[in-house]
Order: sequence, then structure tokens, then C-alpha cells
Amino acid sequence: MKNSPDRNLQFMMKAFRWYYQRYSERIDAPSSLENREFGFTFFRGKGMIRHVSFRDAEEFRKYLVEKVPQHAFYSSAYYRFPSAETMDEKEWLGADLIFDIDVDHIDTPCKVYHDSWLCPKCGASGRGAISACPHCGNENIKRKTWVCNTCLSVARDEVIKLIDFLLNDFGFSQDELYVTFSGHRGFHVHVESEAVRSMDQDLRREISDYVRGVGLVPEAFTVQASPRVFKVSVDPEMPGWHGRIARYLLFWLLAADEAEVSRVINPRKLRYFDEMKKALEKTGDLSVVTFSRREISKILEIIAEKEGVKIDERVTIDIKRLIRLPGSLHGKTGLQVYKISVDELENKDVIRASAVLGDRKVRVMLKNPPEKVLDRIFPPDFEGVMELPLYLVAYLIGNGAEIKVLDALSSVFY
Amino acid sequence: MESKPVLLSKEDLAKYPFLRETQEYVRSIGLTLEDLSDEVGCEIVDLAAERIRSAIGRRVRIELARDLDVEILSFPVSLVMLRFIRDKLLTRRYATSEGKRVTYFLRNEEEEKILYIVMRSFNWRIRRYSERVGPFVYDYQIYFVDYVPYVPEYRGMWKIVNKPVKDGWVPVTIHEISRLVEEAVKKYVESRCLSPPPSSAPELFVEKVNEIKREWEEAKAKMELPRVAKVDRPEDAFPPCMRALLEEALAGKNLSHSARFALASFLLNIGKTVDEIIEIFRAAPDFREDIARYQVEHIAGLRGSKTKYTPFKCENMRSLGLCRWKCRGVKHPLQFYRLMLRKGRVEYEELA
Repeated sequence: MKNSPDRNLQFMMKAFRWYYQRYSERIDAPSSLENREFGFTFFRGKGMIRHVSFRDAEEFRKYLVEKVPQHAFYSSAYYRFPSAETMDEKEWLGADLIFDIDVDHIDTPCKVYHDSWLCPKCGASGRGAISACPHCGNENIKRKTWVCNTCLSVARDEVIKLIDFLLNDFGFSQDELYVTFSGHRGFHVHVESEAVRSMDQDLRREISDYVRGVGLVPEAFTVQASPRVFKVSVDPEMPGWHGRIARYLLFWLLAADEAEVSRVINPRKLRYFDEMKKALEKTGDLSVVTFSRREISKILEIIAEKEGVKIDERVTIDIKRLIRLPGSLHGKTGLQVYKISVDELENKDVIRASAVLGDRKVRVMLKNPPEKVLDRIFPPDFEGVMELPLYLVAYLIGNGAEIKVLDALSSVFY
Repeated sequence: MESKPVLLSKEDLAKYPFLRETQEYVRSIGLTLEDLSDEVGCEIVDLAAERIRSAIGRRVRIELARDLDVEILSFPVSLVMLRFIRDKLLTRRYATSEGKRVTYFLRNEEEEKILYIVMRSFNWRIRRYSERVGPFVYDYQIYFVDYVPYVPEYRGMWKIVNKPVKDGWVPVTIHEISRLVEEAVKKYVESRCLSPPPSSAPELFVEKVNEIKREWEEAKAKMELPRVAKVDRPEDAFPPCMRALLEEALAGKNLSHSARFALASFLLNIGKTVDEIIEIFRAAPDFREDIARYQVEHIAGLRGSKTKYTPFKCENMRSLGLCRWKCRGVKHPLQFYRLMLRKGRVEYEELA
């Protein structure tokens, strides 16, 4: 089967035009619009058009409708002159605090069903997500990545962890933050408040390290009982990482199996460890628990990995970054960059909500689609004609599937 | 928490030059540079020079001049001198010495007074806490936005990740608050030395400035004197993070964008040319000379914003996962390199 690149491109352009014409009124302009820089890419354009700025929401919406961007971004930073070409001339005034959670950085069980790779060096190929070619060790792998509801629920769990940090540890209020589904493989969390605006990179890095659990040291959570014995000194009621560590330790000590325990505890000490566990079961008091320094370091590492949030720290530290515009469409997926409130986060079907191109049936010829994509499952090695909802067709085209639209475009977009 | 008003003595104004009260007092005297030529003026200028001198010698001046007005006025005058000298390193050293001096004085103050000083001068949000968290007893909580910028180091017990933070409030002891003041004073002094010097000054004053400048140049020359080849190859002076990145780059590993940026900016800053750096990246699996050249030239400040970039400092290297070492007394990879060239040895250990 031969793709028709130009026809597929036309399909995407028509879909995006259709969306912006109908929905631009519902796209909220970012706060402090006149201080934000925008960047866009276009379907037939090369590179990104940067340094765009708007005086008001009307001008902003008109731009989207007339220009129909493939990708749309705005600056998390506020500038006095956002359309100036150099940073110095722009005059930085402050920036929102942004967190980026992306399934690319998280190991998910579903990748084997929809991601694949090809090594251009030795020609090997396979499924799943890998960092280097298992045959020749080449690290420059060509990857094909897709997203499904399993990936997104893993990413969503990370967002929920992050929100807990932001509300309870840092004391931000719910109305100072909002979450967006990026339209592709993850979520962005925005904090917009007076307290964060002027934060420098050091402060943002410390917040980033905090939510990731970077830099935990044993002496903060234990007391040295003798030269080699460290007594746990946290309890589950304590704030911050102290409480997190205590809660995890309780769970870990009482529920972990032997294999898990021997990752940390010297096997020769296992009997002693069992006694400790019994004492803990009786009293529920973590202060009966002691470790060696090496053990406690190892446990802190495990806890940071489990309880820390997997964010892309570069995004949080950067104070001059462009970020996807909520309400716009993602150019590779046709899904909307969808704004979710913290309350909605747990129960909202993010894929349904962002599939704004709709369910109108489109007849397509399809070859070898990923087995699991968005909320849809395809039979393995499928090849043939199918009727699919429009939003899914746009995603398959945008992300480079072998697909050909059979219906006349004029009948799809009327 | 509202801090209780504390009556400040003139001695307090002399000890704590950053206080609002001190600044108001200085303003009320209305001293101008032209006034510095008379007898009292000379005394002030001499003391201002002495303040800077002790910073050059890394001494902390703990005595106060008998005439407290001279003591008080010598501080703003020393700042004007530093603005004339315009040497970032000297300014930093002076800021450090003034910071340490304040910590020394604060050590003997009542808690009430320390709180009054920090809350009024720096507008820090502090409230009483007095609770035990595990083995630690805290006296106060400070809002994290007021805490983080002033910690002496971003690791160990100072790092907020190791503090029982709740609703943005970080529990601290009064001793920790006093230590935060040291950094705050440093930043205050540095910020007051940023503006260009006045267009003119009396001759006597300028002479004094030149005298200090000469002494500083001599001290600097002495510092740099042993900058002879203590290392055979420049790579031997690289910090472990950069050595690791260099080895990986040469081995054709696929480095992350941040890793490439760190290595390229480091190499540029120690004097490697754009071409030399491109050769290093040639082994990269996705190497394309045009793209590599564009990016290295960008970092070198030859393109785009014309900003020459420096590598990330150690804390950021650590957060980006590019550093797994602890280098003694080093906060920036370039500092490691310079120390190595000067001393031939920097202690470091690999963290588990």
C-alpha cells in the first residue's frame, strides 16, 4: 500500500482548519497575554515562527483561525517586549512554574504493544522501548512511538503524586495550578502565582529536586545509635519526605518479600531482620528499626524512585521555555491540548475529552497499525479497509502510520 | 508572625549596615564624596579601605571604630570604592567578609533581636514553630521562598528535600536563620556594587581607590603565581564530570542535549576552539557537522543572542544527572579546573 503524503497532509490541514474555525472562541488566551511570546509551526512551513505576540484575545484567536498552526506554543515567561528577537531586548519579567511529565521518561508495560524501533546501523528491529540496539549497541535508534490509555494512566499517576507535593508540601492552592494533557505523550502542570513568578533557576531546581526526591541524606531521617547502627527517626505523621519515607518503610517492612528485602539487607542479617519485623508488627513504632548506613542509603534510593515524581527537570529549571498552548491541537496527533482541573484529574477520560475532531466515520485503508493506540485495539498485522472515527484517523496520519483515506475529503469536512 | 520592635543602638547600626535604620541614618547625615577630604572624611575613607583590605586578606574584621559614625559611614564609602574598582572577584570576596562579620555579631544577640533584624531588613516570612521532628528540635518556620536562596549549600541538611516541609514552611533553628543572614548580606553587598561609579570623585579618594586596587592586583598575582604546569595535559585538570563526558563523547556514546551543552561550553571556556570541539563530537552516532557547528558556535556566543555560555554549575549538573561526585570546595566545573591549574590537586570522591 502506498501512502499519499500530500493527500494525508491535506486531510490534516482541513481537519485543523475545521477545528480552529469552530472552536477558536472557546480557546482561552493565556493569562497576561500581552506579555507572552508565541511560537508556531505550520503544515507547509519550515522551522518555527517565534517572537509572535498579541495585544488581545481577539487578535490571538484571529491568528489561529487564519493561520491554522500545526503546533502552537507560548512562553511560560512574561516579557516586557515579547516580540523582541533577543532575550536581552525582551526583558524577562518572570515566569510560571512548569512541570513536564512525559511517558517517554517512564517505563510503561504497554510500550511493547505500540512502540517499535529500528537500528539504522545493523538493520535490527523490534518492539518496545529500548535505549540502545541489543545487537550492535548503537544508541542512535530510530523509534516509532505511540500513546495509549495505559501510558496515560501511568503518567496521570505521576501527576497526582506531583499535585500532592505542590498542595501539601509547598502550600500552593488548587486555583493556582492547572494540568494540561499535552495532546501526545504526557501532561504539563502549570503553577501561576505571584510567589512563583520571580523565582530564579536555583529555587526552581530545588523544587524540582524536591519532587524528584534528589539529594535525600540518611542523617535527616535516622539517628546514629552506634558507629554502625542508624535508628529510623521518622513516623508516618510527619510532613514532607519524612512522612513519605516512614509510610513507605512501614509498607515495605511489613509487606516486602524476601527477594525484595535482600536487595537491601545483607543476607546474613535476614534473621535479625525478621525479629525487627516482628517487633514492628507488635508496636507499629518505626524506631525499633535500625539499618547500616549503606542499607539506609539504598532504601532512600528506592523510596526516591517510587515516591518521587518523574518529571523532565530541564523544563522546570528553564525560565524561558515555550510550552504547548492549551486549547490548540497537537500537530502529530490532532488531539487537543486539553486543560483539566485538579478535581477532574482522577476520573476524566483524557483521550475522549481531547478527541475534539470527533467521531465521524472515515473509511481508510490501513496497514500494520500499532496494536494498542489511544483507546483502540487493532488486531496484530492488520491490513485492509476499515471505518474509523475521524480523531483516530488524524492521529494515525499525524504520527506516520501507513494509512490512506478512501472517502472524498470534501465529504469528510463539509 | 510580627516581630517585636527592638530598640536599636548606634552600635547596632554600626554592626549591621544593611538595616533599614542604618540606611536611614546614613541618608540623614547626607554625606557626599566631596565631604571626604576633611579630617573626619579621611578617617572614613581609611576605614573603608581597611574593610576592603581585610577582605583581600580573608580576615573578618570584628572590631568597631571608636567613633561609631566613622564606622557606620565607612560601609557605604567602601561600596563606592568597589564600584570604582569594578572587579567581580574582589566584590564577592568583600561581600563574603561582610557576611561573616554579621554572623559573628549575630552570634551574641538575643533571639528577639535576630528576628527583628531579619524580618525587617529582608522581609522574610518567619513564624514560631517549636516542635520536635524526630531527633530535631526547631524554633521557627520560614517560608521556602525566603529560605532556599540563602542556604550556604544546596546539599545535605540544608536541602529542603531533607527538611520536614509543610505548606511551604521550612522548620529551622535560630542558628540556621543566622547563617541564612550571612548569604543574604553577601547578596545585598553584591547588589549594591552593581551600578557604575560616580562620574567624579575628589583626588584623595581616587588615590585611596588606586592604592587598594594595586594591593588587590598584587594579591591576585600572588594567588595566580603557582599557575605553572602542575598538570601535564589539560584533561588531567578536568573535573570528573567533564572527564566522564569527554570520554563518552570520544567513545561515540549518544550524549543527551544537556550533556553536550555542558561539555561544549566547558571546553570553550577553557580555551578550546570551535573546530577542536567539533572533532570531539565527530564520533557521536547522530553527528552532522553543520548542526554541530551551528550549536557550538551558538554556545560560543558567535550566533543568535551573542551570549557566551558557561557550563552548568555543580548543583545543576547534579540535578541533570551529569554529576555523581563531590568535589571539595567546588561549586562550578570551571572552578575545579582553575583550582587544579593553580594547586595541582582538588579532593573529590564519587558518591555511591
